[in-house]
Amino acid sequence: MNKELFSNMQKQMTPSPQARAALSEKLAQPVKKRPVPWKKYTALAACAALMVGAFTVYQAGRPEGKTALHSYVTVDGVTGYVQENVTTATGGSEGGDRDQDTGMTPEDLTAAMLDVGYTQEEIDEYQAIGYQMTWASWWKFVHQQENSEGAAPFNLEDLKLFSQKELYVNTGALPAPNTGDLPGGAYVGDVPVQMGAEDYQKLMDRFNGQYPDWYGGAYLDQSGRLVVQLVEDKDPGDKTLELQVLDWTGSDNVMFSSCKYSLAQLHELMDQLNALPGTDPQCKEVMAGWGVDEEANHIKLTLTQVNDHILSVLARLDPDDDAIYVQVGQRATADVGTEDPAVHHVMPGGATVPDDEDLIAEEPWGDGLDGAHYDIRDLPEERKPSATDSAPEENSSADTSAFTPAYDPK
Amino acid sequence: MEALPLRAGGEMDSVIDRYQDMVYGLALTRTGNQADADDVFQEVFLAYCQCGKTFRDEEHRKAWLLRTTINQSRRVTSSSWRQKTVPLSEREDTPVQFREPEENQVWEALQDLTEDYRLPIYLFYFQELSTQEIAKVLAIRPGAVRMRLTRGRDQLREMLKGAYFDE
Repeated sequence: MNKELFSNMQKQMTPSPQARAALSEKLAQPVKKRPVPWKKYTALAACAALMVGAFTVYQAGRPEGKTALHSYVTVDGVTGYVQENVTTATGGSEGGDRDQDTGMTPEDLTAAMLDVGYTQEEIDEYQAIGYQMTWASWWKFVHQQENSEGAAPFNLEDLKLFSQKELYVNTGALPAPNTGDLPGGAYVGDVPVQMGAEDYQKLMDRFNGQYPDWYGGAYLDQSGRLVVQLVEDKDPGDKTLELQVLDWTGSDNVMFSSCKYSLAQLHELMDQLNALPGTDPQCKEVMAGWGVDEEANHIKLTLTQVNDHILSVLARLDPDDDAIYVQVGQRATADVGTEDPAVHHVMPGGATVPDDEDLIAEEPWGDGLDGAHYDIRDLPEERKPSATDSAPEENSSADTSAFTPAYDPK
Repeated sequence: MEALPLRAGGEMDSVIDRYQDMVYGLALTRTGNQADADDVFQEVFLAYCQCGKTFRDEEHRKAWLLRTTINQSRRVTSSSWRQKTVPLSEREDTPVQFREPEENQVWEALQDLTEDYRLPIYLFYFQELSTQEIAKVLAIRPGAVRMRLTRGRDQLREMLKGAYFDE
């Protein structure tokens, strides 16, 4: 287009002298300050107050039945996720709970190992070592391996290491004489595992059953090192607790991790859960097992079925919805059709006792015994179930995933 | 070119001298009316004086003035008072008069374009802004600017029968 033409036109497009004069006059006047829009702010504040008030009234007017429900997860098919007594320290009966856990018969163990893919040779080799595997430990192992990143989680080495760690942590016992060498050159008395277990025992000796508010639990990691959980509300820059723990254990090989709940809080919650079956029949019907998982820093609670009543009770006990991990799954029974989950005999700590006649189930509530201060050696000896007198007839058509605590002391 | 303070409000006379033709021209193109263009011109520089902005550079200031001019022009032309009021005859009938007849012819053709085409044409040919700058001022994509320029130019060429085009 014609640039010169446009340029000439642009030069003629100027404001009139009157407009320019008026503008200069306006600019010379003092600038008026914009009024603060009080009306707008007042209206906004009134709306906010109205909403807050309405919400409060709504909350106050909600019927009891509409209270919040606790979350839960449903475990499909695999009864193996029904965990009981998943921790080393539950309900104040430190150490003794493991012995109250339901043991696996050799047949149970064989079936369970086959179920996850072990070969018969591996099973024979493992059983030859002589570890006494419990159902809780087994499911803990399965859960741990399923969450591991390895390509073949269910291998014999891991199972042996796991059994070894469990043995040390729970009893402090030396390895059995027939344990022999582990694959890969690791010996049963593997130094990291042993040291981690020793550190744990030293820490427990210091606590003497009274856990401080900053202590959230402890566990041995994959490499056998002790990991101590510290409650995260303490000042992150303050390292006195870490130094204190290192001083107590006399070890430099202790790791630290942060968590939300102290073990004391979780035990307090455990006490409330322990009291539930005795006070609430509806809860008693569906509660299958529960225990503190120190590694996950919560309580694992297994329900046979879920209903609004127990979920509302749990929501009241656990308002933040993260202290109790609720999983729902049909409790496994060996004798299908005569399901009688041992829900009637929940011990402090979540150990589920099959029958009152079981001597192990006798809680030492005598004088001077508060459940947290008795020696494991004071307990009656565990009756080892026979491999043949209680195991049900094997049903070749049955789903192998339904193998469960088959121990029946009767 | 003399450097002006980048904070709005300072050396107003110098700023007005530099940008008054650009602001007035755009307002006139947008409103098509000298009186309205005068109003817009005053409003724009009053707003500039009171905004308290500190501009990054001269381009930023120029873009702000152009954008404000368009907004003020829209406010003036779309006000309900203006829509419901019959303008005075002298205001209504005061055409924009240029010195040369061909200039008036081009202006009339430009006014016959819709606003979508008129503003890009004005900014491109009169103010010599790039398509990127026009896109920023009009808040549209550069591709849309090019498309509007093409179509606007075609319509102008048709209305002017090919006169005054040297491309």
